[in-house]
Amino acid sequence: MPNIKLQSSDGETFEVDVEIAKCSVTIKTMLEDLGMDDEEEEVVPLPNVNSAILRKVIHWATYHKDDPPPPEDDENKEKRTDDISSWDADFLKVDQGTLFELILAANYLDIKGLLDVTCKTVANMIKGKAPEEIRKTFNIKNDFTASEEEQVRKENEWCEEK
Amino acid sequence: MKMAGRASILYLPEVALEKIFSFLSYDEIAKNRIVCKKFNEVSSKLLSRGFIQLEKKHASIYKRVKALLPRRESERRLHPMARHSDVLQAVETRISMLNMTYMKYIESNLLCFIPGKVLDEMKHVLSLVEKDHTPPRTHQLLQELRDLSSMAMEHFDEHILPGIKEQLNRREVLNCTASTSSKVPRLFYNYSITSELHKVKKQSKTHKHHITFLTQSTQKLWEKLKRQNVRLKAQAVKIREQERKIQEQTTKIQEQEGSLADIKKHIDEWDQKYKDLTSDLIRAKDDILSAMVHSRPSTSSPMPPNSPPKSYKSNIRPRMSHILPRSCISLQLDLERKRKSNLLPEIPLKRLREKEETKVDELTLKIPSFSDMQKEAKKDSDPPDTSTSRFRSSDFSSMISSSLESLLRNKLPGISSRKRKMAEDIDLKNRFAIRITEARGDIGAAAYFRYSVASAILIFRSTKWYNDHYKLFA
Repeated sequence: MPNIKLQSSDGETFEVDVEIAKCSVTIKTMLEDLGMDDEEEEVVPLPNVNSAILRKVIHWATYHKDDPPPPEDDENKEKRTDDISSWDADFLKVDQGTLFELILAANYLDIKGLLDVTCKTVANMIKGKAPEEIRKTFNIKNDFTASEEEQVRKENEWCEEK
Repeated sequence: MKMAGRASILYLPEVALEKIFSFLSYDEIAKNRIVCKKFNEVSSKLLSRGFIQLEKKHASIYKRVKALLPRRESERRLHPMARHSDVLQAVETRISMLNMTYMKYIESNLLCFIPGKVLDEMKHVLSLVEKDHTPPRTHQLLQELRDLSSMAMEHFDEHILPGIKEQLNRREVLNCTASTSSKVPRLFYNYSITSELHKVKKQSKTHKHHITFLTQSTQKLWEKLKRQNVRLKAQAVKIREQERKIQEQTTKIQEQEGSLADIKKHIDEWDQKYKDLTSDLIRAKDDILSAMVHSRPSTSSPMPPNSPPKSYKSNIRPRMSHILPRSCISLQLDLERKRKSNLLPEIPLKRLREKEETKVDELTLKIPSFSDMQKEAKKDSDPPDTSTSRFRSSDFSSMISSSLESLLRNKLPGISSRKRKMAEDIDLKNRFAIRITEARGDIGAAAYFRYSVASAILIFRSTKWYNDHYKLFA
């Protein structure tokens, strides 16, 4: 199996299987567009991903290398968040920072499976929580002015049961 | 789980957040808008986009279902897809109602599609219609959708719309005041700033009114000023004209003063001439008297044949009042007065003048001779002489002549100026008579006449003197 060298933003090089690397649509397109030979030992720089995250991504990709290609996004399709595999769930049992960096890396490398699962994880963190709880979970500061907050509150009053 | 460094959910790109939120229901998305501004922004986009996507989805499903249905309506009811069609038709009505309620304000970025729950219900209905071959009855299926959409629209009309309209007005104000219009969607405005701007706009409106009023008044005043200027110019022109006239008058006055001075000078000259003539006359009188005194004892004739009579020519033309006798002048004046007062309008002036002339002629013609005068003088002097008849005529005449001499040299203090004037008048009359006689060519007669008149005056004066003295003596 041919390998490809991926270099993280902090200069660490990771030699991975091309097929595993091709989980990333970005890398796949790059390899296809540039017509790189398998024999060549080119180093692909990934300036937006640090070594820790890249290692995690390669780990995830190696585990999911045999997964069927994910279906195209369908608006009509009901989106579920409870379909995360246990391995993924364990894999994503990381701190929020790593999770968000994984989302960023998945977005940059265009790894749909990883992006979906990370986003689902975050969505699950949001689901069922009140706004104040969400703020607390993600350490978000309420930056609305009083009038703006009142405006949004008023708009959402319509479905409150009397 | 702890957050690592700067990595926060808010630092995630919008695409990632949208991806995260896309796993949530629209109801949850709507409820999470209040978390923070970023959440609100992304959620609003998703809600509005969700409504549009559902509209499109509904349109495509309805189109597909319609394509399956027969053309005839009666056949449609019996078709298995009839319920689908009914549901889709009901959803279409709801969608169009919601569209009318929200889309206008969504397009103007004033708000998002607020009722996320409605989107969820609609999505559920559409998915049912799409997937289920035998959906539940229309009424049952759409009840929730109808309730929710009605609730949402009612709430919007009652509670949201007034605020939105206010916001629209403020935005209009902003658009009016701000020259650059920002394309960045802004759902919220700084109320304090907008209210201030509103106030400023109102103030500017009132100022505009004031300015227009002031402009009008200034225009009026300007016109007035123009008129005043025109008047002032006209008056200045008049003043200049007046000044010019005054100058002309001054020059005229100066000229007249000059001419008056000339006249005065002439008058002085005439006075001098008159004085000279008067002195000449006195001399002539003296001559005559001396001649009389010297000639009487030697010759009986009044004029010596060898000595030519002295003629005193004068350029002075005496006035009529000086020439004519006083009675004649008074008569003429009376006539004149009567004529003027129209009491005697028929009296012809010419005839009067003729009369005057004849009178003058008579006056000159009736000049008595020296002998007659002597006789008369004798007659006059005879009555007082009755007591003192011892005086002879020659002695008397010598006495008279001596007394006359003394009288002429030393004026009597008792004789008034009026008498002197009378004497002068008589002198003038004499001169007139002399002139007349001279004109007749009778020089000798003129000299004689002069002599006779002078003697008559002398007789008159001496008689008066004599009478006075006689009275004194008596």
